[in-house]
Amino acid sequence: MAEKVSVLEREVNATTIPLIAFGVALNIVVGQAVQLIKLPLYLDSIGTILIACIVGPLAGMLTGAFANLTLGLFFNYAFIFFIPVTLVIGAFSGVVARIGVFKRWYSALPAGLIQGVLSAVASAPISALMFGGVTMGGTDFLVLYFRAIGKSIIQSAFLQGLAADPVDKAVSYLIVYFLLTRIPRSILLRLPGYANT
Amino acid sequence: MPTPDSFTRNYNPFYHYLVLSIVLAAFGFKLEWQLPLLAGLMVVTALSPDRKKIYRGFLKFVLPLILIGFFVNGMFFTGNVVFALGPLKFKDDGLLFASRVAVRLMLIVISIGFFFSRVKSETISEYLISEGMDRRFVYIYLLSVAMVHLMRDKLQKIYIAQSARGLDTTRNIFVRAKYLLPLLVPLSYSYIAESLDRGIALQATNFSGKKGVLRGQATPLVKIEVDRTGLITGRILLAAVVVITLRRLFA
Repeated sequence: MAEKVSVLEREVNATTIPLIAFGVALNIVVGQAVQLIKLPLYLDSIGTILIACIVGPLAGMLTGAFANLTLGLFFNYAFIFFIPVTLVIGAFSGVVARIGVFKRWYSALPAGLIQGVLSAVASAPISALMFGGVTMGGTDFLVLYFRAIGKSIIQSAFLQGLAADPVDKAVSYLIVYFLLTRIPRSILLRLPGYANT
Repeated sequence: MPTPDSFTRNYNPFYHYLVLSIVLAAFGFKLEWQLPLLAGLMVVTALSPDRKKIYRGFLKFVLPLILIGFFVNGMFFTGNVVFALGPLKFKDDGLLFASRVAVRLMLIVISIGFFFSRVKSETISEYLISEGMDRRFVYIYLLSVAMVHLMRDKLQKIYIAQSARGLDTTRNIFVRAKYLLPLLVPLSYSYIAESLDRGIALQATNFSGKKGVLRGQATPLVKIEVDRTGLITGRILLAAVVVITLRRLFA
């Protein structure tokens, strides 16, 4: 009789552990790539989304959590507080990958926009309560603007997230889609989430 | 089998209980209690030999955050005007909120910085494994830290190679966004292939093995000697902070 394997065993095993570590490193290194080509986006969840697609939602959540933990310990402690947001990103992208959104660009794009709204919802309370709405990101002036027109801190943080995150996540989803189309099938066939690509 | 002394590391759990207690106090204590706690923490860290390491990140990232927080919240909260700089009026409610946020952030950031200045991440990893933490998570963390440095070097090489082939970062935003792919595709391709090979190597060592003759306690590379006094003192400290926080919550 086939032995029941838990989700943790299925998604975090000897085969997937190096892939998760790669996803963590990709999240961090993409930030450097974005700086090299001077793009006004964060794109700091590409590794999370990619691993959630090619391994599974739990692996995606772990990738995001470890990426923020590493960034927090080595660069800026503020990243640690946003771990819940990365869990949302990993879970959502893993779930939508299973229904095949990464098979076509026109399904990846709206999924990325929805992901952006969810990220804004998850990050607003953290940004507002932990940092008073200021995160030293390039979009802090938006918080200032929304505060000036009379919105509360949480509303301002949410609206700021809503202005920046959907575009960022939609571009991230498209990049993951194009990455998956450019990686040879011989490699994709060896991945646990091959059916999602 | 006896472990050679060179492979034995001392670990004082008091440090992580101290950090946990301070983080809890940062959320659970009143501002009047947090201020002396912060003052004490700052004195201890200022006397520490690693003070530069602790305060470097703080000055670079957290201090600007706090200052902008005072500016934004001071101006846009309602309340009585405390002072004005030309047309900018700073209100008491906003400044109080910004002070709370600032003290909380300082407590958390300085205590975490202090902890990692005292304890090596390898030591805490080995301690957590010895306490029953899944070693897969520790391996993910250590491998990803190692990969970041390798990937950065590789990205730089790919960037130079693609620049030589005509990658232009001075054009409009859409063209630049398109240029991200020639950087990320070779990087991802090589590292996914390498990760799959690494996975096979891990399987060969029965890394996630559950059954069979290879199952058993993994041989630790480092033996951790836990300071019992630190462990007990740390637990008492954390328990005291929990009691104070709960009393405040239910008072």
